Amino acid sequence: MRPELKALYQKILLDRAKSTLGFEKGPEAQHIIEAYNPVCGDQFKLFLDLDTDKVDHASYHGYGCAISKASTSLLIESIQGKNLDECRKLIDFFKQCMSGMATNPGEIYQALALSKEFPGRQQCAVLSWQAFENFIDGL
Amino acid sequence: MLDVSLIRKQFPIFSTVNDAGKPLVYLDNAATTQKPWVVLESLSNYYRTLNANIHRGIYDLADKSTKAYEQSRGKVAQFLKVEHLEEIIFCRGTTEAINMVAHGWGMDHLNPGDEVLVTAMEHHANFVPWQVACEYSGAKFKVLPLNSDGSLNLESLKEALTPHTRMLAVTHISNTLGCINPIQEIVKIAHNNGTLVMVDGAQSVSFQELNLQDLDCDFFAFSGHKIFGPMGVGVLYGKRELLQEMSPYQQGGSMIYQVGEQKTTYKAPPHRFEAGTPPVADAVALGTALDFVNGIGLASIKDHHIQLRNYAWERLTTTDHVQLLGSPNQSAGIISFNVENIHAHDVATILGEAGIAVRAGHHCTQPLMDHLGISGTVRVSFSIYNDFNEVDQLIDALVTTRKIMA
Repeated sequence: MRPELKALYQKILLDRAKSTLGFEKGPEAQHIIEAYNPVCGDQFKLFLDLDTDKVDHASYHGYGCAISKASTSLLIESIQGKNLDECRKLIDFFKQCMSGMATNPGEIYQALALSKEFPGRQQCAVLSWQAFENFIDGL
Repeated sequence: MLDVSLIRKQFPIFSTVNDAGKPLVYLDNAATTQKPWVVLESLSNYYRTLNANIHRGIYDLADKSTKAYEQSRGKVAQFLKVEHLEEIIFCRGTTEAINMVAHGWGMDHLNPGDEVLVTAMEHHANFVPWQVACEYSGAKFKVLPLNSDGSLNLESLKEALTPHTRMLAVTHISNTLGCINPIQEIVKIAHNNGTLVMVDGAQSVSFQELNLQDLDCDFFAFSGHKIFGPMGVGVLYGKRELLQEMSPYQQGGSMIYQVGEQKTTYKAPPHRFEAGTPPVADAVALGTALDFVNGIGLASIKDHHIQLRNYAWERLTTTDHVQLLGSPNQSAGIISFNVENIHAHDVATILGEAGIAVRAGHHCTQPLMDHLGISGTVRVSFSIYNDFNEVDQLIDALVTTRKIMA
């Protein structure tokens, strides 16, 4: 097996995928964003409460693989308390990490970026981020 | 068992390796089969020596091309043991074949008050076209529930059929669970109710001998690429009397009888349903693929599938943390399973690194996934070039998967 496989499924990603932090339903949330991959059926709901242009509370629930779950968990934790401009910057940073252009990506971002080395898996990493970006663009 | 080493030599793809340098263990045959040299040569030979448009050119090459195409239709008719050549229509594949019936037959014959019954194990290709035909016509779309193991319940079928059920859409073999439906019995039940039957034969065509006259189904569809033929060609079989009164799904060249400014009349079947230039080379190569299958023998092929299925089922049953779906009884060379607490796509990625190609996900059967209360499975599906050793490699890779994901 290539070293990329172990680098993808490294402890930090697997721990993040198993983490229950932010993994809760929020049916009363102001905004419920669907992140759905029709190819595999993976589906997350992102629950957001905004205080004017700031993310007051964010959580997620749903079903997905280790990569999509870790990535969604990371998104939810990262946007907590951020305003929309900061969220946009974060999305840009995530995209740079995914394309290998970021100068200082963290370990978890590096692990997620390795998804592109495996057929059909990059979509798992970007699924919830894309849905969140579409939501912000539509505001 | 078939002589796998001899068979593998006939498939050039088995001399390739993946990005990790591993040779190919191809266990995704329910999605598509690999192509033997004879089929590739047939394709190439057609374009090198026969290429001309069919049914229109008044010259030698066009005549030879037309004959090759029509000869292939004859091979399909023999393969399915149907009575009339004009009951065989070439199309792009199973999906297009079913759409042809759902649109062509459905639009003319379905009305408000009518019902279409499909089973919950259908591939989306035998589900969505009927859902849409019902939306357009105002007919009621009904889904037949399954047993808890995903198999069909004939008593439930009898109960679900009503005097208004015009069409039953059912797969011969589940592409997800591998269970084989007793089509002959199902057709009898449906016909006793005055209901027509559309059979999705995508998985059965390369598994067992078929005799459509015995099955007595009204429509039957399959794809060439599932039986060692090219992608982009498939077959719709329809009973002659039904095709004669069926509207064409597409209009254009080749299928017309006479075109006037205000009114067009159509040719008789099968040409009525083959508008435009058909995939001639692919249809010819499909005929070659059927010759290839006949050369091995479907009885031996079925036996090979079943032996692999039984061996894999047994080994998976005794592998820790593997949960099998469906039942080993009355099933083809297709097995679905999940590994505890590991998503099917993560399993498939790690197996892929080991050179083992499997399918993961919902397999275009989301209603079945809903019925089973899961979002996806890992699916292995066998063919003539697979052997026990590859099953062992699968089991070893599953153990590795558990270690990596622990």
